[in-house]
Amino acid sequence: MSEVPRVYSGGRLKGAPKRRNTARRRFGCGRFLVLIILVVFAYAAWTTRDSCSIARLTPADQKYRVEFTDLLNARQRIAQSAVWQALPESTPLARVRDTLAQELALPAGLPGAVPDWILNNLFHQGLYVTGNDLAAFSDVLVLTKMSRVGTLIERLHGFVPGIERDSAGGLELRRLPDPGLYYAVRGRVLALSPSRSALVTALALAPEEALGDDALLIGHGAAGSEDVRGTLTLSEGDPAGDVFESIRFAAYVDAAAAHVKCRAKLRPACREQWDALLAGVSPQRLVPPPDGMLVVSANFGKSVRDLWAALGQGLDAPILSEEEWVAWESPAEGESPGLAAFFTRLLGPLGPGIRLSWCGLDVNEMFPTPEIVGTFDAPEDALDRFVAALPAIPEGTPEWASVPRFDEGSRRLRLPMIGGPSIEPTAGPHRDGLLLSTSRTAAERFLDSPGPEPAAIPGPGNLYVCIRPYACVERIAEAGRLLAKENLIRGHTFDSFDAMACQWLACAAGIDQVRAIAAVDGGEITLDVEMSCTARTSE
Amino acid sequence: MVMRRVPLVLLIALCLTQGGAHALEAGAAKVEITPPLGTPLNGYYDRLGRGATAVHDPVWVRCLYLNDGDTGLFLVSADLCAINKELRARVLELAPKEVPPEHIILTATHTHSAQGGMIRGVLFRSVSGRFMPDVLEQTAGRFAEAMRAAYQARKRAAIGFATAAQEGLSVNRRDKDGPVDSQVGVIRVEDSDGNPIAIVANFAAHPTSVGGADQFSISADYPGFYYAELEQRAGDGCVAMFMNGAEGNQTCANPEGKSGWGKTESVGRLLAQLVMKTADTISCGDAKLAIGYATPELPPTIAPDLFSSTTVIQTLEIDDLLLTFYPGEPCVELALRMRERALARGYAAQFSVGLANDYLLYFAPAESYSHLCYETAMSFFGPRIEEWLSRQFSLLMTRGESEPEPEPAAPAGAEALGGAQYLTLTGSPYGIGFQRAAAFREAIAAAYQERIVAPCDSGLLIPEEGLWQFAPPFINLTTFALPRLGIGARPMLAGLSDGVLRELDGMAGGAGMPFDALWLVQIAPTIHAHADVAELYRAPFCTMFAVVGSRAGADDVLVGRNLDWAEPEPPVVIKERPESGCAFVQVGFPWNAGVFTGMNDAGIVVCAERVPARGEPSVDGPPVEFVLRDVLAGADNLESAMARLDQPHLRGYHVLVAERSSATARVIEFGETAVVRAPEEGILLGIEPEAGDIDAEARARYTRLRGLLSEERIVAVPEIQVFLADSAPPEADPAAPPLEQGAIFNPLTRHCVVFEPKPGRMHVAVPGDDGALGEYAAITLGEYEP
Repeated sequence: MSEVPRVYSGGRLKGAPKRRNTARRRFGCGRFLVLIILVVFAYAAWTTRDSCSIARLTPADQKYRVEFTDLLNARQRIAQSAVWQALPESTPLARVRDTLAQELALPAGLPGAVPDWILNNLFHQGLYVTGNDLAAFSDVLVLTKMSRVGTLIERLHGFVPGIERDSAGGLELRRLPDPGLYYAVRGRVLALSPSRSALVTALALAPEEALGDDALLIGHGAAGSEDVRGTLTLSEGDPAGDVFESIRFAAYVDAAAAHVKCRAKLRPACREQWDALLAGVSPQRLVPPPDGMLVVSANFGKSVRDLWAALGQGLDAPILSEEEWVAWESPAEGESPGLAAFFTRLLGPLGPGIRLSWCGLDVNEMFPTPEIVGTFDAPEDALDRFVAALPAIPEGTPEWASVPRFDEGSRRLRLPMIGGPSIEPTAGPHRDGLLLSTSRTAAERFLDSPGPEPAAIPGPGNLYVCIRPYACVERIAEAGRLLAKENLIRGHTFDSFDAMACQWLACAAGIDQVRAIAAVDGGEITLDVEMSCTARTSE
Repeated sequence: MVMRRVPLVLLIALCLTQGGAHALEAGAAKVEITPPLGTPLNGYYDRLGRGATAVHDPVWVRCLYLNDGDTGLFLVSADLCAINKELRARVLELAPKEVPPEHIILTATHTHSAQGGMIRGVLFRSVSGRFMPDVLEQTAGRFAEAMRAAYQARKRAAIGFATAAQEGLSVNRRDKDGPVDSQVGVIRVEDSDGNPIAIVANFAAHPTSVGGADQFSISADYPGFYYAELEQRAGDGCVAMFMNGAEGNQTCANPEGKSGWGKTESVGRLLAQLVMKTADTISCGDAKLAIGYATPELPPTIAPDLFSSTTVIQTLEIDDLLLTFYPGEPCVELALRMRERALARGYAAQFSVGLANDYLLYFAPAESYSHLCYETAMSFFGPRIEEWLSRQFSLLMTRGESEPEPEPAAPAGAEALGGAQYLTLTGSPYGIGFQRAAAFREAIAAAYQERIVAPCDSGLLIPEEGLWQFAPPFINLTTFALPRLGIGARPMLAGLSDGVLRELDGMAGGAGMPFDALWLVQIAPTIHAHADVAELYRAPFCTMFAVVGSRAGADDVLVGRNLDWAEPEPPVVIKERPESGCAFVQVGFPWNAGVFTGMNDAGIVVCAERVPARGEPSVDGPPVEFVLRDVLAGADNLESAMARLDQPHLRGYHVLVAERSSATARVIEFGETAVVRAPEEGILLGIEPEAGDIDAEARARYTRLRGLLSEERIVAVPEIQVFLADSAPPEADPAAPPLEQGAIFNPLTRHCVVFEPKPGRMHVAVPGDDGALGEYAAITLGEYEP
């Protein structure tokens, strides 16, 4: 380094080359820039600090709370699930689907969709939905925690047309007139609601009125990888509130199915009403019913007769009463049992395992006739005892007369009725129990070829239901068209019924089956539902 | 040279042509169509669709192929209850193509013991059993097989026909003294050696002799025994065929007093013997064949879901023999009259064949339409179906003159008369009815919809007992209820004159609706007057009174009349000038052919008023308004009017009759017994306000009316016009509910009329849109004087 002092006149020497003091100027500008950046960062850090929790904005007394656990990561999987396509157009869920598809780019890639990075920052940590109005969801409050970037993006709302300011007494709400939504930001929490009042309430909560952080965690015994979980606290008058006090649920959607698990607590009055059915009931191993479009397997630890009366008490239906059963069971002295006596006497002692299957609908019968097959747990000698109690058929009784007939060779019992075999109740031994069908044709199908023992229904329970909607609708539509052709469907011409049937078929087309298994344990009912759909092929 | 050859060539060609035309070919075959056991049998409701359990004797399809060189045809007869549409359609699809479908005649013997299960529609399954596509396919296939076999067996043949008279083989099943078709028609077809190829019998009787323990046995019934006997007598190679006749109300008798199958066998055997004997007398030769075929639109029916809109009408002419093929079960009266018409047109003989090509249930004659029995109840195309069928056949006959089409009635033009519409109708009763309905087509259709169809849809007119109560809620019971109501209403036609029936028929035609539906509209007030649906039509017809003698001044007799009606319907005034009987004017509504208020040119005035205290109107005869119409059309003095009103079924009404020549009036109170009242001090009220059992509104009206009348020493037309417009509220108990019809002129009043029988004049006023009574307009039976 040179020791020579340098003197500067401050003026420019004539002839000297022009020099710019760029370093000093750069330094000064940079310092200013750094300062600005520091200030901006400090401001950003300050304004996007995590100063508020979701629990702080969640009222403690809400009737429902739903948590979407990982919506952002799961949204592609959820959005592309065939389940959504199977939702009937008229249902609220279908409207939700359409809204999400339009507004939130689910599935991604739709024109005009919100970019992923914005969504990722806006819905950064979970999504909570809560409210009190279970009928119309008018006060639904959506809470999510944004990232710092998301919070900053929101700060730019002033540049976004269509967002209005609503001071709300200093609460500083924003209003989106077009969808009719209000929102506010506290810390990084974004609170959104169609109800201004609900949003104001949430923002003005006293600490003791808010849900604690611990209470925010929604637990579910069987939940694990669910996409959504929630609790409902019901009052009388709410939908299902007359039956249940509370419901907890969790749901998971994959490419071709939706799984829902529920645990519901019965209201005491309801528990009392259904006491005859539910008292002492515990989950059982359920046996699969015969194959059909709609099948039910039940085991409430009761005989058919007791189950009938218990259902009558629960449903408050006089026709399901013990008295009616006795009246049907007891024809006049010396009379052969008619249809009612046939069924009540034969079925009364059977159980507790009961399997019913709607396996067909014969549109060619005298009138369109459903074919129902039931299998029942039964003592080995149940059929013999029933047959032994039958009065002898008087000599000369014509073959077509409507009296029960037992064929020793095939060990089958049948009751000729009117029309053809689809209206001819038939019973026979089947595996370890008894099979009884409303249709001789259907009964013979199962009795002649019992087939291998079907796989057990997974999990214990008391009631199992499985429906294949398309098959059901297809058969109903076929029968309906036949009737409508002769103007036999109330309020419909053939064309109007046909159009309606086509809509039903279109709705049902995407659903393979819906399975549900319910179990009663103590005062609680657990329900696992699975809806399987036809997976969409990727295009 | 050329000139000389031409006639020769022509002669040869002519001979060849002639020879070709008369080279009759025929072949016959039969194929068994016995279905498997378990197949439902067709014909009886009480089998409830259960399947056959045994075969008593096999059932067959038998086919005769005929070709005269110009016309080839298959005449097919099957041991079936009927030829339904599904079967005919499938048979025609499978039939040999050598014969066009229009030349295939399918008939059923009507045995009630052969397969059903061939009808796809649900409504007929209660009789024919569940639908079994395999049975339909198999049976239709056998039909085609029989046709192919008959065609393949064709050979040079000759044909002839004759008729025989039977006695004791059939009876009228509805009326033991009723007509019986004693004719047995026989057609013989033989080969060139004189051996019979086929013998066809036409005889009218229900093959319904199999029953009891055998009702689930398959059998051809008596035709089965006929086949066996005839073929045994005629020898191998002869196919015995049977075509049932107009068997609607004919059934087989018991000629040898046997029971069970013995009776069946005797009818078949005796018939075969008669047919064989007749066939032996037939001299066969060549014949000219002609087939008539049409698929006309059917008349409207109240049970449109049971039938297609068109049917098949066929005729077959074998020289001067005419066969008419009915697509259902004609009653014998139709056949007897058809035969008369055919003979009059130059045919030597005529056979009516029922159950051919389609199944439209029964065809009952007009004269028995109101007599409810199975045949009439199952007749769904109105009382004039015979005329319709006759016209269809007539158009297909090649001999004589076709029956003229009914003259299209010119539509009537309505004029304005005050606030009412005024129509003058002349011509035949049918034409009058047609003109009227054509003018008010929409109003009549609306009345049917509102008063009959809608109450059925809502369940108001659906019975709550029987099978009705078990119907699932999604089932449209109106489809069942309308035909049932229509059938149930027919007895109320009994006693109506032919003229009224024809006018109603004309109205149905003009309105484009089924006769039964039109009749239901007419009797809707009666239907709805019954307690369970009374709230629909609780309004009485009121008020009416007569002033006679010196109280009427120089007029001798005057009548005042207000009609109250719940429905706000447009008022109409109709003047009818029928070809015979009295001309008359009625004031009413567009749809009602009956008369609530009217006067004829003999000076007879009639008015009716519903009085609930006198009971519910009876449905055992025509409603009161049709009896009044009959009075106007036929009575020319009080005595004859009273005689026409002497009808024990009338109930629940007071009727006022006034008359010019005797210048007096009567009120007949039709309750449990009919009570006749005469004027007192020149005044006759429709209801005595002092009567203890009348409703409060009637009492209030008539009390007021009596007060008004008593204030005037002489009551002339202007006074009556004022009285009828009196809307002073009644002096009612303030604690009681208001009396809507307590005033003489009240919100439900639809017309006010003053009758002057002496000059044959009436003054009509109707309320305007504002509810106030409009100006009176005068009408005479001679001319219209606004």
